[in-house]
Amino acid sequence: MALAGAAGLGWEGDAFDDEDLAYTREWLRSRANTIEGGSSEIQLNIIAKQVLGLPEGK
Amino acid sequence: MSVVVSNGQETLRLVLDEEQLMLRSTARQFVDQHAPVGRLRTLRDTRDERGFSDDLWREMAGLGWLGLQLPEAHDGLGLGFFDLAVVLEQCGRRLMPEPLVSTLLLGAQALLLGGSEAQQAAWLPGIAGGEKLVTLAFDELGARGNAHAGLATAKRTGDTFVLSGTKVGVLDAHVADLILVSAKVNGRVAIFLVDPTRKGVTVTRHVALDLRNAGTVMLDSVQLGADDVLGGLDGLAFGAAVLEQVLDRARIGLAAEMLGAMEQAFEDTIAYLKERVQFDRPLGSFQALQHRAARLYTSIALARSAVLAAARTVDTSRDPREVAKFAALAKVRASEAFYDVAREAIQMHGGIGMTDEHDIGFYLKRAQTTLVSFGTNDALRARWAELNGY
Repeated sequence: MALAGAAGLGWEGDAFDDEDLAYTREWLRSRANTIEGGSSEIQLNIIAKQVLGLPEGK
Repeated sequence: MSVVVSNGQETLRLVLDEEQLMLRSTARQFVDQHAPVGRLRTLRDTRDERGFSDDLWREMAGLGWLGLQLPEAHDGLGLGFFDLAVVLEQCGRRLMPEPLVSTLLLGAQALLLGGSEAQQAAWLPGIAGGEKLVTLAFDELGARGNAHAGLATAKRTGDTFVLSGTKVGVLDAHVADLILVSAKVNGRVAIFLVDPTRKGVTVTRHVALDLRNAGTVMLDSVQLGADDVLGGLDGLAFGAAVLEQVLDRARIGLAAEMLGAMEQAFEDTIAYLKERVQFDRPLGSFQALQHRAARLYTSIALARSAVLAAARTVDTSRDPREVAKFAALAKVRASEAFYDVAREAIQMHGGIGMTDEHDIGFYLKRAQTTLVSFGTNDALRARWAELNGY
């Protein structure tokens, strides 16, 4: 997205080709990856407790 | 468990075999027992003339580490670069100042890749036995680790050369029995074997931030012959290529050391988080710190994969460009992860982390140094991009 610049901002219209439009949708989709199946924060909790053995909070 | 990574052509095995696991555990035990980080403080404060332990070096030779990757014909064990990386990782855990990078990564690799049979026979057995230290002088002021930007020249007349120039940051130059020097002959890089006691050679030692030993090498019209060119006169044609390959191996070996260093700094920090009590609870029970620790853990895991893949590639690929890609990847990944780990390690130790009495500060000093060693990370990213056709 960053490399594509303004071409990475397309939603629809002739100004953008299929690839440009796909970027935008994939970028939006990727936000869900850090939430679904246990959020990133939950994964960090699991690493901290199960792998590193850090103690439970109060 | 089988962990593999794809480099596009083949899969690289990243797991250690039985013998490598044994080598790792022996190395770890030896380093833990004989090389506590605290001795860096003693070596510094006593202004030790050598800056490392000769006794330890001899013991490492006795364990076979110094000849691990050298051919059996030259008194080595004939193992791979991957095996050497296994040992370097353990040495890195305790930031060992012994001349591993200079002699095993720079000197030995240059002799292996570019040396004539006579040159290999003259130096490799001495390296394996721990009697000879060899380094490589390639960097110059302003060259920023770029092996081709140097101004040192060797003027050729027939089969004789007159070498002049100044090389900086030459690891272990003050103790080296042989200094390999890169210099341009008619505009092309060649590597010369220079005896530091030769007329016209001046070595000045300096102390670096991370307490690794290095010096400046001044060369004032040093007279050399055809036998002093790495690879003989044929070497004039491949000096530049050898230098690149040597530096790539050095980047990978240094990354293996960094991997051990970041793992140790991280382990020490986790132990401290469990033990140190503030506000009636262990520091490690605070979620703010738990998440930061977990992020470091993941970046160490990524660095580990990059380093192991790079070390493996030295043994499995005949294409220097393939090794160069992995060298750039491993060095950038490892040094940036190491720097993050070392900074966070100090932060999580709090005030005590800022004191010279505590060992953790040594890791940050080494991490800062690795960021700019053997080429800046910006230059290596550019190289990665170029090699991948971006």
